[in-house]
Amino acid sequence: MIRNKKIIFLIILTIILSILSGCGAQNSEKNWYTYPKNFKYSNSSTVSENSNYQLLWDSENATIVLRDKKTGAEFSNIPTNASENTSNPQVFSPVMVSYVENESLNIKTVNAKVTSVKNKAFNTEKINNGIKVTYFFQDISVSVPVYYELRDDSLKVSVKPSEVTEDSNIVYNVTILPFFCSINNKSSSADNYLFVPSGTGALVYPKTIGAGVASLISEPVYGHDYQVSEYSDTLQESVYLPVYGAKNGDTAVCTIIENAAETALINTNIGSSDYAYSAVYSSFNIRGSQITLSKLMGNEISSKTLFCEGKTTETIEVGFYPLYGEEANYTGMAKCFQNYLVKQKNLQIKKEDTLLNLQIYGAINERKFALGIPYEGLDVLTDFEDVLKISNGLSEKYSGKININLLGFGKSGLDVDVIAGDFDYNSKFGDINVLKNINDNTDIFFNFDILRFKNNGCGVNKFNSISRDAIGGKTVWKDTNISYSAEIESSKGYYYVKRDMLEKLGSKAQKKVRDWPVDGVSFDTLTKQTYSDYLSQEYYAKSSFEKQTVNILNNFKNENKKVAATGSNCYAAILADQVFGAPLGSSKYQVYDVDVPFYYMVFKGYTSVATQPINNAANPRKAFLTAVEVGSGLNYALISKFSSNSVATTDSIFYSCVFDDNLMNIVDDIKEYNDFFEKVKNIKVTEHSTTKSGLKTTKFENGVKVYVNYTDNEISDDDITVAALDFEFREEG
Amino acid sequence: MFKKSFRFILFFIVSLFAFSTVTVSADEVKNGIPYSSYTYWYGRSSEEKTAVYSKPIYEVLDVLNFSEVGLSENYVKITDVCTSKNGDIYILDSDAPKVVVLDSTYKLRFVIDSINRGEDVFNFKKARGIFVDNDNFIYIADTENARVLKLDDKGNFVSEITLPDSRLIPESFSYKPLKLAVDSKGYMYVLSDGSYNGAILYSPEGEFLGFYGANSVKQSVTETIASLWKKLTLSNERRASLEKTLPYQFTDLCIDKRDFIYTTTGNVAKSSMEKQSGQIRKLSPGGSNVIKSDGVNFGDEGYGSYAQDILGITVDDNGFVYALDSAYGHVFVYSPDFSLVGVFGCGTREGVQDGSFSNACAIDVNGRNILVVDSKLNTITIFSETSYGKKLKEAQLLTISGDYDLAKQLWEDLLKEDKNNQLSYIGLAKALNEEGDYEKAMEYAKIGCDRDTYALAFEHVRNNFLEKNLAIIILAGLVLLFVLVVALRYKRKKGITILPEKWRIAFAVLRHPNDAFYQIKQHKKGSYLIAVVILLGFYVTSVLKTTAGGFCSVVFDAETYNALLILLRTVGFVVLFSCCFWAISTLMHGLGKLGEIFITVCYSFTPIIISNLLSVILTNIMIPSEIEFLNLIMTVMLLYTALLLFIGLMRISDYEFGRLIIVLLLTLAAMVIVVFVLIVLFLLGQLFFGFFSTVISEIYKLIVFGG
Repeated sequence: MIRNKKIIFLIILTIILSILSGCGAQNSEKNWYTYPKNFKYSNSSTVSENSNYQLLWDSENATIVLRDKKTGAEFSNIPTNASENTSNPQVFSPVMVSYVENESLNIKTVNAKVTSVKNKAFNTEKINNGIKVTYFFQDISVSVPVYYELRDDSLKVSVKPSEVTEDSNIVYNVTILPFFCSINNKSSSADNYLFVPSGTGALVYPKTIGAGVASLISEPVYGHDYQVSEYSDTLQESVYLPVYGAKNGDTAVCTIIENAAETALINTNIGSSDYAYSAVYSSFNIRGSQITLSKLMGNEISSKTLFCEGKTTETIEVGFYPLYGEEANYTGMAKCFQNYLVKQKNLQIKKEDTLLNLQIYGAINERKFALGIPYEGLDVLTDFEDVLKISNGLSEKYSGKININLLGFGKSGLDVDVIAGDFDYNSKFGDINVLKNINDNTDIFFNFDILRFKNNGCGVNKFNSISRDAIGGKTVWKDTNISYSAEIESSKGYYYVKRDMLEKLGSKAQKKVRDWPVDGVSFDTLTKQTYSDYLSQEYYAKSSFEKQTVNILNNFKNENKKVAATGSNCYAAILADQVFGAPLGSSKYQVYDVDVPFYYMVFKGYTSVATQPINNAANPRKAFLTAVEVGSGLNYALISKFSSNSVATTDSIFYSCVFDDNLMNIVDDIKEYNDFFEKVKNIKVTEHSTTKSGLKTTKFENGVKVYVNYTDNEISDDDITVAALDFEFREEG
Repeated sequence: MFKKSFRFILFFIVSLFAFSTVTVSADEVKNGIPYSSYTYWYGRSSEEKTAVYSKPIYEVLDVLNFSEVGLSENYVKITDVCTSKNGDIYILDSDAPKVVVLDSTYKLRFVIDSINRGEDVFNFKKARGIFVDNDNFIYIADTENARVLKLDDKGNFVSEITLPDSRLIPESFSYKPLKLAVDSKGYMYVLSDGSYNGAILYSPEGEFLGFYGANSVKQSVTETIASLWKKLTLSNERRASLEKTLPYQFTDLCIDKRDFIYTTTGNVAKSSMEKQSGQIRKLSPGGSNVIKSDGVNFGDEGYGSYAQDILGITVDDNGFVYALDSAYGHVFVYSPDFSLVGVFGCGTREGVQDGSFSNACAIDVNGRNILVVDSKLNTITIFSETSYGKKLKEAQLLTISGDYDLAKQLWEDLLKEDKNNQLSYIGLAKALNEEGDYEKAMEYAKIGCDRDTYALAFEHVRNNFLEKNLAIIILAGLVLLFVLVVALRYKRKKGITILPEKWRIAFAVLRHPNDAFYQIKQHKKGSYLIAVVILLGFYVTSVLKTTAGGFCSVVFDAETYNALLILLRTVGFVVLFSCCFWAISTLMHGLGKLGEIFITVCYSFTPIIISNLLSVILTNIMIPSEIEFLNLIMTVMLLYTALLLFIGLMRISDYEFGRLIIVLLLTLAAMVIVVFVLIVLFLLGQLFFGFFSTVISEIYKLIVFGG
């Protein structure tokens, strides 16, 4: 009896101590919001100046204005004549904050104009080349310090998440200068548009749209976070480049997210009659979140978004680059971004553009059975001998260089199993040394998926190698039902490996391919997917993915191994020798007006880029013309033999991939394209536009100009006639 | 790092509310369009149909909003669209109210924003349907005003059709016209909200003719019994006060060029988990359904977040039918013989991309394009055929009309482009069969799961084989027979015994069960080894019956096949029955021991092994029409097994007939109880395991997150 009492006493004591220790931790660690008694304002109108620009302080709106000293053009968060067109405070707000309300856990958004600026609740502080403004959102007890710095060619705006202070309401997202890149909804569509980097890129012309239409499109930079559960039966293109902009007549602004791009969302607010302006802007998640679904009574599902407490560590940096005259358009923005990548991210000219690129798939797992007992067995679609045959078959018809990306040649084929296919090829593919016989003009890349795994192996296990979501859980990914795009509950799920292990896994791949007769490696998932890992604060809200990927790819480059990327995100495309599967268009939101090949324009002349597989496209001819439009490489997805078992596969890649069925089409495409491609190989794009008659034209640095007709009718323009679904090119001079 | 208090709150919230964290994959645009195109494979598995990806048959040509067609103001609410014979497109903006008329290239022709009746100007109110007949008369289902307006091609008033005065129409009938259609002879069919009697039919003169083609009420067996019981037991008053089950009303209708009426019934499920069927009907002018609709699901297989809602239908000049599922934004394309050509579109009530919908509410055809109305986004999405889609439809039309030769080349081309489309395999199989290349036809028919064409081709292949080899087969058979007879006579003459005694007794069970079981009981002539071998034979032949059966007659799906289930149904059944019978018979003074009972049960199953083997052999050499008698053989074998079991158990337990019946019934009850207990134990084990793994996981989280 006495012993029982002792045990009960000990349990109660433990519980009390645990609670007390929890409270103590909260008090000691919390970065408490402090509200200053006296605000300090800057009275000076010019806070910084250089030979090109003046940085002016607008004390009434607590924001800055960038003035070009030569032209007098002004660039500001507040659109010109905004007060005449709208009184919506958001248009006048330099900062917006989304937070989780303490009591209800609901997500709300406040703007600085109403909560801070109107009440003069902000501090200013002079910093080198600029000004630091701290906005106090009094109603929610949050403060956000923003640094505005003038540079020779641009304005840099930065926020340090660690300096964002809060009390009981938790900030999860910060938006900077939401109307810096904006257009008047009633302005002319010829001279004004927004540029959004969705997929290849898209333009949004001025418009006012009615109720019901989604006027705010939010797209995460570098794709959605694979650590966050998400349901969608529509397909989205990723945002591969951290850049956006707006053209307003003779001027334009190109905005580049220079740091912490992984945490950013690019938002496009279109056609709202309330705002009178459409705008594209970036917002940044400074915390991670996870959606949990709860089953309520009557099978109703309620979803709740929960956030982790720790904030991201990377400083948010955004550069606003003014553009003028002939540069004030999306071509100018592409050049501006290209220059930025060359100077800041070491974008270098690679060896050469490659016309013919092949993604060859190895095998899928098939359910087999013996005496009614099922087992998984590999169904080989293409073995190494077949790869050789495909390569030789094409080399007979085309003497140029060929890049081949071998996907699904690991132990488990295309299926996720042990990480990176056990870092080995399956013996069912034959001996990899067969590939030594491939001719010198062909580069072979062996693909490794070092992000996902289903079963233990290679030092990765389900006990402690799984990355964690914002509430500490393991995110399981399962096959999805084709018709409903919902997960198939009975399927065995796979996981994303914890981020700490990525570089180690990269090294493993590096060691493995040293002895193989391949020219390089490809990382299809690493170069296009990003995810958070809440086991380490460094990786919150997808942070530092760029850094890790760059390290992994650089290790290969240092060993003179070539690297291929799929997709691919900007940082990977910079380092890659070949990009496979670049997007064919944007996410096709109804409010986007026209797709532009911005992605290709940025990398043309530096990195060899090939489109998504042409033979799999809904309209292969249009996909072919997309490549022609910017002089990029062609890409085909191939297998050697079709297995009727792959009909039921959850991946959609096989239905038109058999090499023999595609050979003639590939040869015809090459024949048609080769002359033009040779002329624009490794040459940068200098101009891209659409003529009034609907022809897409691209001008290259060497004066070659291509005219592409995507319509079903012949088009004549000036001195050129282009047949339906065809192209023509001209050499100037 | 996480802080304790916050973590505590978070986990508290999670534990309070979270049932499960669901993750599903988001995918990227792979082929230039933001939705997946897919189709269904029929007969691939024992399930009705399986969704597979396919090459897109339609792509988005344009999404028309108000400014695209040249209007200065946005629509208020588009509810319907109709294309006239000359290609003009009539868009019904119900809440504006106005009708926007575009030409066939989607350029604005004119707008009807007021309707003149002499000097009066009046308008429609919340109209839901529009139709333009062959003479370009415009009909508007003026829903809230309870009438149908007939206008000329300029929008001038011609007449109005209101609720007719007829004794056929119940007094409580509320006339709210939703959709309408007029056939080539001028007969008008009007769907009214709440009308479960079918469409209201008017003559060309506007005279009410009656109701047309109502849905029937579907009742389950239990519902029918309950209804019958109530009829028998309740008083007239109480019966009258009971709820009546009424048929579902139609949600849309359209007319083909032969005046067949196609109807949709929309969501007929009580929840998203309920399987729907019979959503589409094709009615003859007489009102009878000419396609197999009952039990056929014209929408998606499986379940999603919402119940399917096929509420729009249209048909093109070639007889291809397009059905719109509003819940998921899917368009199903059926060929004139109601084979699925493909599915496209998406949105699930939240679509904002090209080809996706927030509230898809109507569908129509404009030449080779399909128009889908979204009443929330106020847009009309124009889908155009891809070159693949065009070719596929052409090939299917040729196949339906029997032009297999012409279709063959198309099917071959299509197969190069999309190996996931079942129609290509079936089409090619039919063409090859017609051509006389039966072996190839069999190959394609097998991949395409077309058992009928396979059987036709197989019959030719088999008959050809028999024709060529009949003499050899007969000779071989005679030689075999001769050898057998000689061997048997020799064996008898010399008194040679090939098999050991226990094996002979096992086989004797088939011929002399009474004696054989007597030997087993009294002289211990039974063998555990033989019993186990027979039991294994039972399992193996049961597996082979499904996995090695002929393609024509047996459906085998490796994906869903469960060998463990077969094991439970064979070995598990025998073991459970033996144990339960032994337990009951012990209580009921039976003399049988567990081992003897087990042996008896196993020996009794020999006829089923024979019938399984026969099934494997016969289904592989005969076509379905020839093996009707196989079912008879299997039934006889099953009955013979039961008889053997009965005789065996009587002998072993020394029971009389009546007592054995009681014991058997009690055995069955015991088996049910044992299975129930096992299931309960399994579920408890699962719960315990779940609890245990949750505890481990929580401890791990505490350690990892710095607890």
